[in-house]
Amino acid sequence: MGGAWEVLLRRQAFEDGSQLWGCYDDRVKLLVTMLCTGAISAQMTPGDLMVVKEIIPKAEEKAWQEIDWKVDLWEARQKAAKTGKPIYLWEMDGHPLGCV
Amino acid sequence: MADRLLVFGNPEVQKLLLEKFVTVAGDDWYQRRKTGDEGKFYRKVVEQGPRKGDGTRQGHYVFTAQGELLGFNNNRGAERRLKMLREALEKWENLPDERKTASVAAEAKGDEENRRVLPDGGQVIKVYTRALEKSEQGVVAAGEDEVGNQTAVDHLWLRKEELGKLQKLIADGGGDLPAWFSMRVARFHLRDNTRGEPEDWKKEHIKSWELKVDAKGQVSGHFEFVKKDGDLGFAGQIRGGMSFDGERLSQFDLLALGDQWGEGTYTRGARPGKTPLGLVLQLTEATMSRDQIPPQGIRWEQGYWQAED
Repeated sequence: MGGAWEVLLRRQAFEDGSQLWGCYDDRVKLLVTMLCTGAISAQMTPGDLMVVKEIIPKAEEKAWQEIDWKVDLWEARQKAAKTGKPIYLWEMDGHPLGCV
Repeated sequence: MADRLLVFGNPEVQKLLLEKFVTVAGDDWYQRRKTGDEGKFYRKVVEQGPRKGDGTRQGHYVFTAQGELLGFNNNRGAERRLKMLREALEKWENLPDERKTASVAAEAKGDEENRRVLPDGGQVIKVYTRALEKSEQGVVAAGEDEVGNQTAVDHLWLRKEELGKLQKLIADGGGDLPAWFSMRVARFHLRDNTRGEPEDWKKEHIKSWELKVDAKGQVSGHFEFVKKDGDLGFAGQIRGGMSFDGERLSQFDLLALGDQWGEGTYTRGARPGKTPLGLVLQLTEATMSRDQIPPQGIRWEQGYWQAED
C-alpha cells in the first residue's frame, strides 16, 4: 500500500449517498450537507469526509464533556465559596482536557 | 487520555461530580509557575499532598475554597476514583460550616504572565488528531484499545486583525497563505499529540511546505517535517477551505493527512515505521469553558504569535 493519502484517494465508499447518512453522526452529516451546498471547500472530497469522521471524537469519547469543567482555578474557587461545594481539581502536565 | 474515557465517561463519576463538586482542570506547566494569588492558593493545596517541591503536581485533588486538602490520588480506574471522591466527601460533610466557606477576591492578581487568554475578537479552531491505519476500507481510526489511539484535542487561535488579513487575501484572489498563519499551523499544530506532549517543529525541521488559498477560499498544500537525523517526521497533504462573513470566519475546515514516524521525549510508544496520522481543523464558536483552553504551543506566547520568525 502507498501513503495514507493515496489509500484515501482509492476509497470508493461514497458512491451510495444513502449509506452515508446511515453511518454518520450529526457533525459529519453537517459536513456532508455543507459539502453538497458548496459551503465547504470543493477541495474536501467525499473520501476526505470519511477520514474526517474517523478523526473527530466519537460520542463515547465525548462523555466527559457532560461534566461542567472549569479551566480557571480562581473561578472554580469563587464558585465553590458561593455554592458551598468542595473543589475537584484534575491537574496534568499538558492540559488534561486537551492533549492525550 | 484514558482518564477522559474510562473515568470521566463513567455515569456514576459524572453524577457525583455534577451534584457534589465544583470541577476544574488545569495545566501544571502554568500553575506551578504562578506566584500571585492563584499560584499561592494552588501551592497551599498541593503541598498538603504527596507531590511537593519542584517536581510534577499531576493528579486529582479535592479541597475546600479555603484550600484545605480533603483527598488526592493519581490512579486510573473509575472504582478507585469513586472511592477517593466518597472519602473526600465524607470529610467535607464532617467539617464545621466555617471551614466550608471562604471570602474570595473577585479577581486573582499577580499571575498575568502565566495566563493565556484569547484576545478580544479572536476565533478558535479545534484541532483534532488521531492515529489512523490502512485497511481494506481505506484509512480508518486505529484500534481504540491501544494507548494513543484516541483523538487528541488542541486549539488554534487567530486574532481579530489576522482574520481580517486572511479575508482580504481571499477577496484579492488568493495566493500563498501568510507565513504567520502557515508557520503557526505547521510548527505548533501539525504534530502528533496522541501520546502526550510533542515538541514543536523548528524551522530547520521543515523540509518542504506549501499552503495556499484560492479566491473561493479553497485551501491546499503539502508538508514534510523531519528531525533528529530523520528518526522523527510527518509528511503529507492538506486540503479544505475557509469562508468569511465580513471579517469573521463563518467556516473553516481543513484535513491534514500524512505518514508519521518516530517519537519525542514525552511521546513514547510510537507505532513502528511510518503510519497514518490525521488532523481535522474545524471552527468552533467557543461557547464552553473547555473551548477556551489555550493552544499547547502558546506557552512561549511571542513564539506562537510570531511563528514565522
